Amino acid sequence: MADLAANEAFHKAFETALRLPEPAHTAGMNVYRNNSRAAFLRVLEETFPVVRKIVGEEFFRYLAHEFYQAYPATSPWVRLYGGPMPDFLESFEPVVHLKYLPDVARLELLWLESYHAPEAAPLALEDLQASLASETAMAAKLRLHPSVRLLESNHPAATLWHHNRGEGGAIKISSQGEHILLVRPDITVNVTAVPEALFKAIALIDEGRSLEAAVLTSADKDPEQHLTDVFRLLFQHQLVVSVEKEDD
Amino acid sequence: MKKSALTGAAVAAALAAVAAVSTAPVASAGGMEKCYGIALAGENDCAAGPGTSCEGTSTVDYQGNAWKLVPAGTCESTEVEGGRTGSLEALDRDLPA
Amino acid sequence: MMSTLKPAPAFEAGVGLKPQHYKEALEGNHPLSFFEVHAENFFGLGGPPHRWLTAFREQYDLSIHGVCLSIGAPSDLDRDHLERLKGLVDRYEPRLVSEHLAWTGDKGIFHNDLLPAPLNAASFAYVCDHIDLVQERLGRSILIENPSLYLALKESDIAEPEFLNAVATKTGCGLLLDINNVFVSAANLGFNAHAYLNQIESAHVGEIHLAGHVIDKASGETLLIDNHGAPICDEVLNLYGAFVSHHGARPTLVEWDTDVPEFSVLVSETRRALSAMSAAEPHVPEAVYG
Repeated sequence: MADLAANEAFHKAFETALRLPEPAHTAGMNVYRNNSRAAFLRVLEETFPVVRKIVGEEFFRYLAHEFYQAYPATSPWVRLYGGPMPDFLESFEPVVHLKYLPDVARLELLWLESYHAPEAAPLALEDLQASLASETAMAAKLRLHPSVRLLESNHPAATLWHHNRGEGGAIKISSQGEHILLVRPDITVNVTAVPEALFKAIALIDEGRSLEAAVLTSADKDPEQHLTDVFRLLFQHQLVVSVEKEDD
Repeated sequence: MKKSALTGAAVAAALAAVAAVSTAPVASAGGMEKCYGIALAGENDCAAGPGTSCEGTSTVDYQGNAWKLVPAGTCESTEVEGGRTGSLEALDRDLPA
Repeated sequence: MMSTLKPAPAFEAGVGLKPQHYKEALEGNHPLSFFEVHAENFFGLGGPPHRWLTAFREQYDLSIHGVCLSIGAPSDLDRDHLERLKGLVDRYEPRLVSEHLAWTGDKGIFHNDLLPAPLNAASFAYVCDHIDLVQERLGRSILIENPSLYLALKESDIAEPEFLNAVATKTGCGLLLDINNVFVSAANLGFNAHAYLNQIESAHVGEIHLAGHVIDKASGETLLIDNHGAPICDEVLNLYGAFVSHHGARPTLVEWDTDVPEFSVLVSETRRALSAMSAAEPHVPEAVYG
């Protein structure tokens, strides 16, 4: 009777052969080796269309190949495979001079999360007004849409992302960092650079802080004006899905 | 709890100000996609890919074309103020062994 | 013995659902009754993928086809993966749920390809344990598909049809018989495809897959590659016709994943399958299929 240890040894040896940088000696083994690589390459291409456009198709294939050798997949769910890409890009020598590239990759990972996040119906402004029409409104906690993602970048990652989702011609941009909000209130993921104080308010609300704490902690001007700006952003981007009041 | 610098009345006023000047959020494109959204290409299938040929998958391919191994996409035409441009700069580095 | 009075089998056809076909397939000018999707592509919880799939579910039967559960490896199944699959199956209540007699990873490292599993007494035990666990967790039976093979494994000492029959008997799972995979494996490993199909206990077969392959000579030796990128070859259609005329029709699915053509081409491939069945069995109600 075949024993378990022999099968375990088989799987180990097969994995080693599969991941060798050089092609295998037998045609059959090469089918598996090439299929596995090509499948991961396709996942990376689909996960990082903007990084791909920035560095070019051919270079991206090389980059993906090096990523594959460095990072074996640790989940059977291939959507998670590109997770370590920003870290990889930080130290991958041929692109270290493209300092913005890791944040563009982070933005693409967050875009994918937002695209696949659960559905929720954003609150209309009237409903928001009705829910907050009390003296204790400032103690309320706003629950944001499950597709909300936030990225603080030291680079103009959102501008680069938008530019390369479009035509991607020559561009000269400010090196200023961006505070980036992603949300999919309906079917499209909206990617927007927002002012820092508003970004901080959204981040605090998203952490579960009260409206009061979020607004007062993040205010960079008259709190009442800041409060109006926060509400304008919440409404325009359809960020709020429900209101939890202290007396609930 | 510390006394709020913002009252319920301030909340109502802020919301009223937003309501007074805001336009409705922008809607999306038409057709069936309007209801269901744009579908991404699938990530998984159970088809075999490139077979025994190593197209696009082999280190050997890259070694043969080592001169191409610099980023060459839109980074070439992207100039970030005070930063550096893309792949037009010469790169001094080791090629894969 | 076949009787000429036997009721004609119903022909149910489906295709593997591709995003570029969503719109046309939902408009409904086709005779298909079910669509198959890869489970892993719907492991997100919302967004456009689920809006589309929900729209399909309202009109058609679904088949959820997993590709990464790695039933054929000795190590424990990835529990997160199984829970995601359960969430998807609970949500859509598909008519069919299937996985492969293959492995995609072992001990926490995954390879994103259907790799060949050794077929022997030791693997029989853990393959059955894995299927038991999946069926228990999903609360339903699943189908297990025969993979396309490119290597003969010296560790295997049980023939694949025998292994599959025994797994089905032991666990109560069904079989998803991929006739193109049988043909591809037979050519690559040097066994007889007719003999293979004769050994399969047909009562277990709950679905049939058909697809095209490509002949690869790049390495100097000839291998058939199951690329799902060509019309179904005539030999595979003949094997299919012979199987269903003898054992009765099964839900039949055409897969096309590489160089995907127009939706109408996939539909006409299902018509070719119907013709192959009709050629071998004169009582197929073609009018019903349209």
